[in-house]
Amino acid sequence: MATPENNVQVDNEVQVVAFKLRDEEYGFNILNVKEIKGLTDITRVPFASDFIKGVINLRGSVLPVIDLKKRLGLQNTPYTDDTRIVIVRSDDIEVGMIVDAVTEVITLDTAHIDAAKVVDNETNRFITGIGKEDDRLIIMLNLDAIIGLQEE
Amino acid sequence: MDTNQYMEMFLEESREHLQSLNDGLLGLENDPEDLSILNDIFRNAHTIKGMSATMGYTKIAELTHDTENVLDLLRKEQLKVSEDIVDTLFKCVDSLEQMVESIGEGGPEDVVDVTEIAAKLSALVKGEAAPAAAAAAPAAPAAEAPAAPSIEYDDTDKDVINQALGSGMRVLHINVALTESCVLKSARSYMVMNALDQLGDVMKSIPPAEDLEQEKFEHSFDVVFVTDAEPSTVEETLMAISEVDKVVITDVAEELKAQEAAAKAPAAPAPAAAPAAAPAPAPAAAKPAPAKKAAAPAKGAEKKAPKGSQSVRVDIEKLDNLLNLVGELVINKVRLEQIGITHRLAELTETLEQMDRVTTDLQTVVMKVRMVPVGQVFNRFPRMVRDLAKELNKEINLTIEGEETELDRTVIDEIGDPLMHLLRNSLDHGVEHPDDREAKGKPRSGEVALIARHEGNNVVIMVTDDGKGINADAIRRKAVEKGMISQEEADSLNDADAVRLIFLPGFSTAETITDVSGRGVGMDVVRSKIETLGGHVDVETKVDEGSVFKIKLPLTLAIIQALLVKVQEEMYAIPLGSIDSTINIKQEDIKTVQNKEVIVLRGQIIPIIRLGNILNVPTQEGEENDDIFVVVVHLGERKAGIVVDNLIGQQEIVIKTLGKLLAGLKVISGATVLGDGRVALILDVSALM
Repeated sequence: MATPENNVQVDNEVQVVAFKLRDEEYGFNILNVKEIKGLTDITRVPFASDFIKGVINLRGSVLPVIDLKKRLGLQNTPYTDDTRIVIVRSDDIEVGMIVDAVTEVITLDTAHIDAAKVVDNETNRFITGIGKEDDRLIIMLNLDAIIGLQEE
Repeated sequence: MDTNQYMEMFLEESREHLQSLNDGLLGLENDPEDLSILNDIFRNAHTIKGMSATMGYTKIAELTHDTENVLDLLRKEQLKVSEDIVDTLFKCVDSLEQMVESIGEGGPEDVVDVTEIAAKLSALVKGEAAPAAAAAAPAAPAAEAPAAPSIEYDDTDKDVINQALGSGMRVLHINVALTESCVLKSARSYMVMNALDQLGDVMKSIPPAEDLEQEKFEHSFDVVFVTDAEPSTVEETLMAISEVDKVVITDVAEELKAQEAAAKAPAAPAPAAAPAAAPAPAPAAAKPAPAKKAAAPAKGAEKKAPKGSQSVRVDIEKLDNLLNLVGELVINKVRLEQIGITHRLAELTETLEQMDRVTTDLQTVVMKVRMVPVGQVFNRFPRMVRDLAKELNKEINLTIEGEETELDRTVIDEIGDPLMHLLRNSLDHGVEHPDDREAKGKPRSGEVALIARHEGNNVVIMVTDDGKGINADAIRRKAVEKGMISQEEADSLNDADAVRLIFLPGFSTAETITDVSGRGVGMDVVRSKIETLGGHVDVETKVDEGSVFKIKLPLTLAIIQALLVKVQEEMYAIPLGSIDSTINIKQEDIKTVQNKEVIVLRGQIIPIIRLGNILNVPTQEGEENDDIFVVVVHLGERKAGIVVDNLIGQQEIVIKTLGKLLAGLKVISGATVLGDGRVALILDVSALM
């Protein structure tokens, strides 16, 4: 009976890369996160959607970067030494997301993730749920919606 | 021997040699007198024979062996190149190709019945080469040695020979033939040379000494030998060396006389040059030894010249890997630079500057490696066109241009079939029969061209013909007949759009269906294939003047020349292909026409585009510069001047796509990574105008 038990355990947990936007903590499923890198030169792209900050060079390939705070309707804050670009991947699309700071990789019990009903506004569709760990709240993000592959 | 691990190599190389064989035969057909082509063909056939025999494919080896026999006779001019022979040789190559492909698919080698071809080949060898029967038997290379053209002596050689003869020495031309079964040919030749050194001086050898050492000869080689020993002694000494099959010795003095007599007959200048050149080699003439040394390398260099470029096959995945690693390297280099700057380590910064140059070069080289010239695809078409023209009884002159245009490997692999379709169409439906052409007042032979070139941010490949063109009305009628469009729709289409109907699925205008084309699947397959490559195909045609099929392919990974310009702090790249010139003007040179800014350049009114405004570049404070840089670009006949803040320079850039997320942006067609790791956007000039 060891194997099923293991499976259950894995099914019940999700590893999340947690990061900060202003004072709130957000998270992506670690399976979607490719790497985290420091801020580099971002080239502005004319005519692109306003939440696309520009493009960066990631080891020779050109990658779009999303200003996550702008995308989520949060107020802008200046870059700091902690500012990072989280490179995420969904299907065959890779993009970078600018975040204020990456906090940690955290394992959440799926039972502790509530469906997102707390916030009721237009950014709701970007959120898949809210995870609780001790007294921290981690807002889980819907990557496909943020990238803009869904609806719109 | 386990030959599996060599299979890939065998297949690849066989294909390559078969391709060269094809090319060679085509060349031979046009220029039957060219011996160097024959030699190339022979070498290719020989290599295939050797490889297939090693791999245990006896059928291929036998067929190539038979082919070689015919080629050998042609090479020795005992057989004349005729259309019949070339056709037979082409058939051989086709059969060999089929066999190799069958092996590649894991099948048996004997997929084609070669008995007929083999019979034909041996008939060629026996029948037409009857007077030279001895040479036809491949097992007797020694027998042909005396008949082989004697060594050609240049003036220096002659000088040395004359000196030697003057001092009472003998100059002998020795042909040494090793036994067919000899394995260590280089060792045997070395022993022969060694033995000869004991008896006198070797003046020159053919092939040169280096090639002898590397076994770059068949079973015999020639030596010019200066000695005072009797020829019979020399022969005895050499025959004593094992595996020496035959030694033929002739007197060079007599050979020279014969050669001179022959040379004098057609033209006198050759021997006359000899005394004129005498002063220079005179000091060397006293001693034959240095002269021989000088002669040998010269001959060697001459022989190496026609060798093709060398290449290594690499898995594309490895290249991608390499590219990524280089990228990592660049990033870490940048980090080191920052450390150097923050800690003010002058030495580190200096070293890093060096490293910077190396990594930049490395990056460009790796990127270029992925690019392949379209010639790789084009080179199979001359043969196809030739065969097809014969089959259709048409006279076709195919010209190929721009085969050096480079495209990404993935595109190259896919573009072959669509191009083949288009070429077949041009031949079958486009170009008329010679008689019809004459009746129309055109030359009998139709001109078909395959042209590749860069055009803006694209590579354009065109298939043109000067045939009968496409009749728009016929297309309209057909489309209505087939129920693809209604009569009203057909009437509303202009001619150009009507012709484009041929790209619709299930369209075929050929009156009769041939096996060449006209099954009605061709054009829409072509279109869909090209569209999956992100390209576009279009057609321009004029009845009785011909058609042009134009394939436009995006440069997914192509390298282009571009001009880097700066607008405020932002860097943009403008493809050089669309740039006319760059000029420097003053603010007052800009005039307005109907509220639009223009300049007058060489009498032409050119509208002005202020890049900063169009791209909404955030303006920074600063004085308006009175000097204005204008990049004059063109799109077809139209021109425009793009106003920028600064010209950075011309650079080769690698085009990257912006990805799905940013697809379909106007004005920006792609991006490139600059040497310092920053990204610059590439402007789509056509969208700006």
